[in-house]
Amino acid sequence: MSTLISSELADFISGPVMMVVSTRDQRFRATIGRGTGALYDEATGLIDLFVCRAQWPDVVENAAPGGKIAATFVRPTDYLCYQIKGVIEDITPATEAEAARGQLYVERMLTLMEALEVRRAQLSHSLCARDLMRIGFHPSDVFLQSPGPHAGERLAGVTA
Amino acid sequence: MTRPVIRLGDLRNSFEGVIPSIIGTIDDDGMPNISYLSHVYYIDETHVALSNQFFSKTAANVRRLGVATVMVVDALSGAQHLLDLQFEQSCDSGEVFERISTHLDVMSHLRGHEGLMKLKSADIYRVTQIREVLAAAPLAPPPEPRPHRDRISHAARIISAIGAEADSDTILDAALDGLRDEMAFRNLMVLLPNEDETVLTMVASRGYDRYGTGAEVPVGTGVIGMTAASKRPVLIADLTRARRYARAITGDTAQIPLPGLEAPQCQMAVPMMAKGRLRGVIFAESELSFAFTHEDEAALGLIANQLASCLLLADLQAQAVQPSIALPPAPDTDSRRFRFRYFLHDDSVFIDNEYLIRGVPGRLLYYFVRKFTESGQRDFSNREIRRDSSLRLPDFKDNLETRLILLRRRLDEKAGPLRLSRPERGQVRLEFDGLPDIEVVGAAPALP
Repeated sequence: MSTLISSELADFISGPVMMVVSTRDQRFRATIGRGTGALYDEATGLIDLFVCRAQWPDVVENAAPGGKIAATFVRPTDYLCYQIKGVIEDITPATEAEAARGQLYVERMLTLMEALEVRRAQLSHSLCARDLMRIGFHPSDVFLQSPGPHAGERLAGVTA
Repeated sequence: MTRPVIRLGDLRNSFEGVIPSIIGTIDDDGMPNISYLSHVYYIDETHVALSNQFFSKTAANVRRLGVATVMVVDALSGAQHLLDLQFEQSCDSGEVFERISTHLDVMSHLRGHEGLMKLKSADIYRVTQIREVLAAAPLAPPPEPRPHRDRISHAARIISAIGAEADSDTILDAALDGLRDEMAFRNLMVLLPNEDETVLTMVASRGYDRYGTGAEVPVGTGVIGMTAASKRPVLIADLTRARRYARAITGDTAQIPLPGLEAPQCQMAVPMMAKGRLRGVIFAESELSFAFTHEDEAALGLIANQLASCLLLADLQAQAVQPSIALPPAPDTDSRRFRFRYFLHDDSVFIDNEYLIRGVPGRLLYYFVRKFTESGQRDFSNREIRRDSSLRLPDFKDNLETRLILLRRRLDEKAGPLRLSRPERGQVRLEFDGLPDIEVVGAAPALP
């Protein structure tokens, strides 16, 4: 297991957590979109993040190999949040198995959020398992992002 | 088909932080950074402000490139919008800063994080583009659009109704009835500050199972108290996961509990200002999230200031009136006796061991009862009350009427042996169902 992505963090990001993804456009503006599930592959050292291309075209169009990417992972029950930054390795359409995983993620999130009194309508435009793209990226930095004065605290990083 | 132009004002439900907003920026190395925002503040149709508390990486990135991207989510419909922002300036004082600071103070209390969310500065941005995020596969049908509510017309009618009244009692009723009937605010109350503005006392309400006249709220506590302290309106659009806040009352002030909804989801309070001073607070609440909008808040602000001005004018007018004093019939001396206890340290009054009221209204009532036992006087003019130095009233000369209303309504609600009636404007009459046995706790006051 990588020292950057501990087994706990790997489990965390592949679990029922809300995800936000950001890439950079030509104008040096951040794009913003939402993720539909993620997993860490210990063998390749890549984090695979799934994003609906139809809903978040700016994020996907600017997710080219070699480009930089940031993603946050928030556990809705206690707002524990990590931000992982890295460099994009590749981007491909989701396979059938990956799409099914994305659908499962949406269903888990709906169950969890409804238990927290978040209505389905409030999530209507946030969770999408259609037209998924897989963005694989090498993580380079991990930050704590939970709300409060320690938000943004660097937890681990790859030294150049 | 051309999509309608999106106005910033149309997105205000998305700014309330029910679903956190997200800000994205780019650093020196071209790396994106994501932060969460508790609130986006609407300034005008082309500007927003963001509170700068913790997100130092975001602040550094914005200082370098001058731009940011923000995504906001409408907590009712789930609709998402992306805003392109251009940084304009940072401020650590002024109207925008104070408004955001007040809101953050309220929200940090709501979340039990007192002091954690202290505002350092407010950053003002110009909004250069608004884009709607088109849902590829919405999970729920869009909610029915809300019917248009013409708040300016509603406010105009209520303001006219208030202005048509000359008496403080009917002015208050015109305001509350208008808010209930015209604007469909089902649960609301008016509170007035005491002379040193440390406590607000409830003087009139609508929509609760009891009136609660005389209930107190410390200034600086809860939505009502913080509105009074800041003299700025507070609107909490969704209280789903926040602790209930309006009735955050401490200490012995809860002798008369403030009425309130069991599970409010939306609360709003606006200050009543006149002649540069706080004259009171109007509070409204609802069991529905987002029941009140910022248009409601603006309309309520107009009504609140009209109410404050008219109460002040009525008070000044009552001061000028010299009523004709007719001798009222004497009370039935065979009637029962009741115990009247007056505590000097806080001017509180207990009748037959039950708390009635305190502060200036308590002091006034003691004065009336004492005068009656000494001379049989039962009618008192506002002019006479104001001139009596023993009452120590110089600091609140311009709101005697509202103190008398509070006292009269509290006596009516209590339905005890004492009441105040108004034979004519600028005059009150003490009514008895029994005779008082006065007990003063503490040093005896000097009456003329």
